[in-house]
Amino acid sequence: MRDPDPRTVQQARAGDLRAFEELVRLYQAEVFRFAWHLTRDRTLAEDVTQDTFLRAFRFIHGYRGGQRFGSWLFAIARNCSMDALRKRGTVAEHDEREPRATPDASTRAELDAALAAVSAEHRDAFLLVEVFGLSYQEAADVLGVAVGTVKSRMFRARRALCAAIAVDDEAAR
Amino acid sequence: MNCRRAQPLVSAAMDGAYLTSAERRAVEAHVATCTTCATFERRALQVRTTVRIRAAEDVPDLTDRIMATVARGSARPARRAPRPRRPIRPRALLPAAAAAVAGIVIGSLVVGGPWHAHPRTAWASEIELGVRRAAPSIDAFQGSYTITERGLAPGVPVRTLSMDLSFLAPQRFRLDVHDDTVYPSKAWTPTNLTYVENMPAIYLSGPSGCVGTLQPVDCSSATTITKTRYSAAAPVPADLVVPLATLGSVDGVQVLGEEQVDGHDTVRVQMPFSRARPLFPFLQLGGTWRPFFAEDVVTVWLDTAGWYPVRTQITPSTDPGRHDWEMRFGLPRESPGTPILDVSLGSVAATPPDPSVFRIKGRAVVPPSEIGTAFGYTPAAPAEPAPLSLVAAIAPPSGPAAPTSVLLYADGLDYLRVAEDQRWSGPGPFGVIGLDAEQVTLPHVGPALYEPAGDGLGRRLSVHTPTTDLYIESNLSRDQLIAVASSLDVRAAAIPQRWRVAHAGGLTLARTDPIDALHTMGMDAATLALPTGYRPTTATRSLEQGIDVGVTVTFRPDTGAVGSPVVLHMGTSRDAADTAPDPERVSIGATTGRYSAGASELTWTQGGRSWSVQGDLVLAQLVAIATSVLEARG
Repeated sequence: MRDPDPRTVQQARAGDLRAFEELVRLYQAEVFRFAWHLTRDRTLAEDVTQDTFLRAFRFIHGYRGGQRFGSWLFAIARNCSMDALRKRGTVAEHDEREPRATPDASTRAELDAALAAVSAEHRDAFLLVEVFGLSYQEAADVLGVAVGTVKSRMFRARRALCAAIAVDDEAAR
Repeated sequence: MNCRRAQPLVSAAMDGAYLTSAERRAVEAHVATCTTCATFERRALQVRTTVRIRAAEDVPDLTDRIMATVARGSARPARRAPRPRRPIRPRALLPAAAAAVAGIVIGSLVVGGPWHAHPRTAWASEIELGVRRAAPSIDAFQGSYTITERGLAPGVPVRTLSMDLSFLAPQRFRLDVHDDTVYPSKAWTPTNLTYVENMPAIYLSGPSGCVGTLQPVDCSSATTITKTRYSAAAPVPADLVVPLATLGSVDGVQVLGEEQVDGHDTVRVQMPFSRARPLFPFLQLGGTWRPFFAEDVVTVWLDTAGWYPVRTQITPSTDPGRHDWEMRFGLPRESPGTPILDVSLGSVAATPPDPSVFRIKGRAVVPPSEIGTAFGYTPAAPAEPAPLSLVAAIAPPSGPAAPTSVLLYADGLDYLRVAEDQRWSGPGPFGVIGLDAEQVTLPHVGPALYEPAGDGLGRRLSVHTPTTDLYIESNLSRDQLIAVASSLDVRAAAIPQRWRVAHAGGLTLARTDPIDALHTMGMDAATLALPTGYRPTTATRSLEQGIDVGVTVTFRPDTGAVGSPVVLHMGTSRDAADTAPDPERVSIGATTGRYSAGASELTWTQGGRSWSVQGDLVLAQLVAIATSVLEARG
């Protein structure tokens, strides 16, 4: 995940919409992907992405730069996703319109199924670290947990996903 | 080292976590000899590859949609979140972003915001919706402006004034105008004005009005102070906060495009001065101001997030009739390229103003708990005023046409007043309702008379019942006003016949059905070249000693916008066509007509009858209507 120019963040904090737009362009795809993984619903993920930036703009004056801007944004996105799922009153369900263009579509499908099966806590940590490249400390900031917790959740999620690939490997034999 | 201990360390190492050198050596040694852990590591890397490599087209570009929402939702000062019951399609989901979402133009959107490419047709409805939606959502507003006026008089070619506006819901406004002009002599009275409106009461301080006059001696040099305990007028400065009266309907408004003005993203619109008067509230409060021609061009740069005017300019119209008008006011030829009035917003603040700046002594507000006893009756109230709510009950001072009670409902800038008089015995409907008011039917209530907004008043209804008379005035849309009024707990009686007739000199004016009146004229509305959206709303017959001497049909925009009416008159006398004070000969097909720029009226004779069409339209539009009348009558 890229970091923004600090001047852009500073300008956005001062209410400059054009600077904020630069931040939106830089992060909207990542936020959407994260929201899609959390909600498993493309439409909901779009709404969550929009809501995330709306909240970010509203509270950007409170962002002091103590953490990476992306981590701060992801923390908002996660909260927005949880709110959206609560409002909808259902847990995340599989959406057939999911992003699935990967080099290995069958492996991808297995992983998606496995990822849906792991607990939300483990999945969130896995997404932040493995998919979006956050460090354990940054993921811990987003999730509001200790670094050690992120570390153990990562391992459990990774183990579950490796097991899914193992089933796939064996079925292919 | 065993598998249970090694695999978490393999996982942590993959993520760049710190391992001691001892841990690292131990893990490497274990994985080299353990097929389970080696497989775990290989599969973990496979998972990484699979989840990290993505095709870019998977993800929609939501930038414009997000920015439209962010801009609309955040830059507006002190406004509440929009109500979900009035959803607005995100501007960005209109063509540009729809294409982006479909993956067609990803990467081709220009820097500066794709909403800058918003089509003008979409902007028109966006402005109308945005303004209507903003009005109830605003709770506070503070703006500082600079007014530059040119052409007041030869000795005062340019004036500069500063203006401060404060608004605090419900229905509290303050407008201060300070004249910074250096005048050539003390004969000139600076236009320093203070206007305060606090729900029912108004306070005005300033030189008495000299609107349209050029000689300073005509104006009173003494400051006049007006205090009114009850005002029936619409809030005067409201359109500077959100131009609901001007742009709540965009009929007749031309969208020119988007521009950045003083750091604001704006959309630029244009309309004639006659349609934009509410944007210049200071002109009607007193002091000295230069005159403006009805067709002068008003350009407004409207903030696309807050929907308040950032800049407003008046430039002289190119209409040929303006020359006569200039001569009448002793003005030189004015160039259409030079603004004659410029109102620029210098700063806008989100903080609510101090409530004490709206203080007016002697306000006659009745606490809600005393409404039942204060008036001696329970005033008629709408059962469903929502989203507005009751903010004040007022006992106005008694007077010949004063109501005995007024209930004020408000929501942000939106307001609705229900004035009541249980002893009304006037010659016409209760309230400011003319003979040409349109009769409408309020569901659950019955017949009522409706007048569109104009002349400093909002849209209004008069309801007559066997026991009381009600006058409802509001800046809500026509449909919203009728919906709220339909929930009044009264049953209306038929409009008294005597209210359908007025006497003026020896002439009797009687209301009649507008469609019948058009048939009497030998035409129907479809054959007339009226401006878009205009329809016949009312008609009157003129009688002299019981004999028909004329028929008048009034056409209004069907949206209830602040658009002036178009009035078509057919008289039996040829002489009536020659009454205009400053006629100019104009060709209407094969006929010659007379055009009065001052009255904005075109007259002609045809088949032994006199005809006139009058309205705040350009001459070409009046000629088009006249031509269609000539053609309809063969």
